[in-house]
Amino acid sequence: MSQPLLPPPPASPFPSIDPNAAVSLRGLMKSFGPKVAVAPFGLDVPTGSFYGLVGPNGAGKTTTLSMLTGLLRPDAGTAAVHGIDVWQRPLEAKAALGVLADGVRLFDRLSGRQLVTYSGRLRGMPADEVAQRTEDLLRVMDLTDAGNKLVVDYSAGMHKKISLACAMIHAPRVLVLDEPFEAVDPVSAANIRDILNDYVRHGGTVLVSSHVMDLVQRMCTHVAVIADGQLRAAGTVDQVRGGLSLEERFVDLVGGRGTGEGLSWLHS
Amino acid sequence: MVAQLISLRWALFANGLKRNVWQLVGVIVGALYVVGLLVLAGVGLAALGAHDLELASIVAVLACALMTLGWLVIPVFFTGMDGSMDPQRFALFPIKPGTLAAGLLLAGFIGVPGVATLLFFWLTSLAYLHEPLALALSLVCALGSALVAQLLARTGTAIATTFAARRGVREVASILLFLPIFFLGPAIASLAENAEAVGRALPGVAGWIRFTPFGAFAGVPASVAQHDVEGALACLAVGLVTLVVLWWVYSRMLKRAIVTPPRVKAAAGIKGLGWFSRFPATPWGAVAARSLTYWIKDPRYAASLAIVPMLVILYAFIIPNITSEIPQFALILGPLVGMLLGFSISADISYDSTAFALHVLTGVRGVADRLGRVVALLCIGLPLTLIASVVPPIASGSWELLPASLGAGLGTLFVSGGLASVASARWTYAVPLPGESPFKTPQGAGARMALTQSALMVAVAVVAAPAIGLFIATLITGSALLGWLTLVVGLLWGAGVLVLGVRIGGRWMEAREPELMQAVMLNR
Repeated sequence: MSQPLLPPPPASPFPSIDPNAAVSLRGLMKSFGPKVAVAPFGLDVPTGSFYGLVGPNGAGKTTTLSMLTGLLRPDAGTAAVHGIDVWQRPLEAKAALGVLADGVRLFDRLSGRQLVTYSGRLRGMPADEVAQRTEDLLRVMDLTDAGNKLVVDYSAGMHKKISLACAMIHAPRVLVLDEPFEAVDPVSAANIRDILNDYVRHGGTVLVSSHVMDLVQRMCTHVAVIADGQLRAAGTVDQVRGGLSLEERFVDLVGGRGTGEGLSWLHS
Repeated sequence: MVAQLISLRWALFANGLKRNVWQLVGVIVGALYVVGLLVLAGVGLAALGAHDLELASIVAVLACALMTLGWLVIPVFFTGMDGSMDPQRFALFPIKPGTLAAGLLLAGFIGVPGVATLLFFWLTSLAYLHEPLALALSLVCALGSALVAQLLARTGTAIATTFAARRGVREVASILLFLPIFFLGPAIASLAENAEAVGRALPGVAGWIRFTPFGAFAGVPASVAQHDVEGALACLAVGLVTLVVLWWVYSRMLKRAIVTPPRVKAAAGIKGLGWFSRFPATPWGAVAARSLTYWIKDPRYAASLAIVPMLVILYAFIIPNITSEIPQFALILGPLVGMLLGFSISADISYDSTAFALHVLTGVRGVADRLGRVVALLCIGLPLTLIASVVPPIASGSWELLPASLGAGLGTLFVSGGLASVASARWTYAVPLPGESPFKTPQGAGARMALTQSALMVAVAVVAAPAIGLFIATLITGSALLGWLTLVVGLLWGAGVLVLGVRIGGRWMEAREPELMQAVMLNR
């Protein structure tokens, strides 16, 4: 692969984006008022990896992913998808990305089938392809029966599943999923994991945020730990956990465990 | 516990304002406006009371009765109650129902409307400035009136919500609401014709309305001021009985509300793809299908259509009845309806709320987004504007004005839609969230919305000047040539502005997508 034509400004402490990586983050930074939500760091998500992004609540996971997916303008830094700069060439980057965003509404006055169709047609896909894939997605998400129901009447887990279907309809090269398994029942979660594993085996890349360590350890090939908006560790799951379980290692890195002195008055 | 509930309401009110400076400005401006109006009215009443005590007391009773009636009607049909203190939210706390009922009732006074109402009732006491006994009674009875108003609002909305829990019912109800508005037009017109007779009837109305729940407490000082002791006692009795009965109903409903969580029945599903199968399978077609689905399904859009029948009544019935100097006043309807309908997409992204993320994530072109919304608008707006432009000239028998009326109406619709396409890509404001009552305006949103909308209205008037100017010239000269010229210019100029608006709006939207997302995230 050729190097980018223009070298980054020499002041940047980070190397230029890696065009071979599926996702390349370089010094993304965001602060809300005095609070620094995400401090600059560099991170490469290798193509074909199943990458977990873990961190405690409020660590900056969603903020980081929003800056990668074009939902939030970073104060500084760049993000690239397969070498395409998200903020320089947004349309090309967005075509390569499939995103499940956390904490946003859906157009919930549409039926599930309409919503997935909408997502496909917004991307300019031909009608018959959208129709075919919509039915396939509804089937694997176990939503065929609910396809005619309005999304506003869906349960929390069904919301996640229909959002996931919307994120996958255009067969993106990279899937960015923010908390995809929250409130999803175990059977559906297992089905979704199968789909994602299959997707990764055939050359796709998944970047998934979660705070369920067991799930990440079992499912992911790579993991990055962020806390207080800073990158604490990144690499393959085995590198990061270094012989411990991921959960133990995570608590080591992040800290904040109580002293064991509980609430004595709670004992009945 | 009651005090804690009140301070909770205060904390909610204050924190709600702290989130957004604009809301704070809105509330302050709104409060100043209301207080100013009330004080002006009070001073006037005091002056009246010094001259004609009887008339002043009649005015006081009628004003109080009207205010109380307003508390029954407005929350039920228009604003809904503020949901932040719904009784269901306290279901898990061990609070005695009686205490909860009292606390929530008193907490209802916190906020601009509650305080303003109390102030209003107190200010009516100024009518009795020269009657110490009546004055003292009035100050006390004002509390009674305010309590009755709060209780009426709460029982009224509670009863209404039990009916409206099914989604279909709510939609039907919002349509039924238009019917009285339709009849209101002729009613007001005939009132205006017989203004003198109405004026003579008012003392009689004040005479009996003080024995109804609406005017009872206000009737006590009024009766005392006229040395009618039996009347005063009767009023007091009616007022107290009203309070007791309403309290009983209110606390019973509250007890039931705590143990029965609200259940909204699932809406009927959609077979197949609905509008998506009737629009081209392109990004703009998808946006148009989605927008049109929302125009039909989302009551917030229906509410923006509610203005149309009101205008028709105002310009087709009321004004011609009051003044016969301008016979063809209804001709203004075409441009006016066109302008207002074009506006209705100026809050589109605010209405999308954070669901707009899908547009950002899919990287839909700004032009496609704008165009789709305009197409959906035209599906609704074109027929309505056509009717509003065609019917008045035909009804008044002036066929020769038809082309001019059409040109002005359609021209303004296009110009307004074009400008709204630009505006909604740039400005967002706090609107009722998806699924909320369309009449529920977020606190203090009024000021910003009014500012943006009036700026937009001026802009539409300026940009649509060629079409409107020619229309006026046609009306004055009656020239057929000018009429046809209005049609041609209106259509061409309007279409030009619309195309330009879609293009510029699309470019602005693409440049500002993350900022728009941040703005809709704030209004949650």
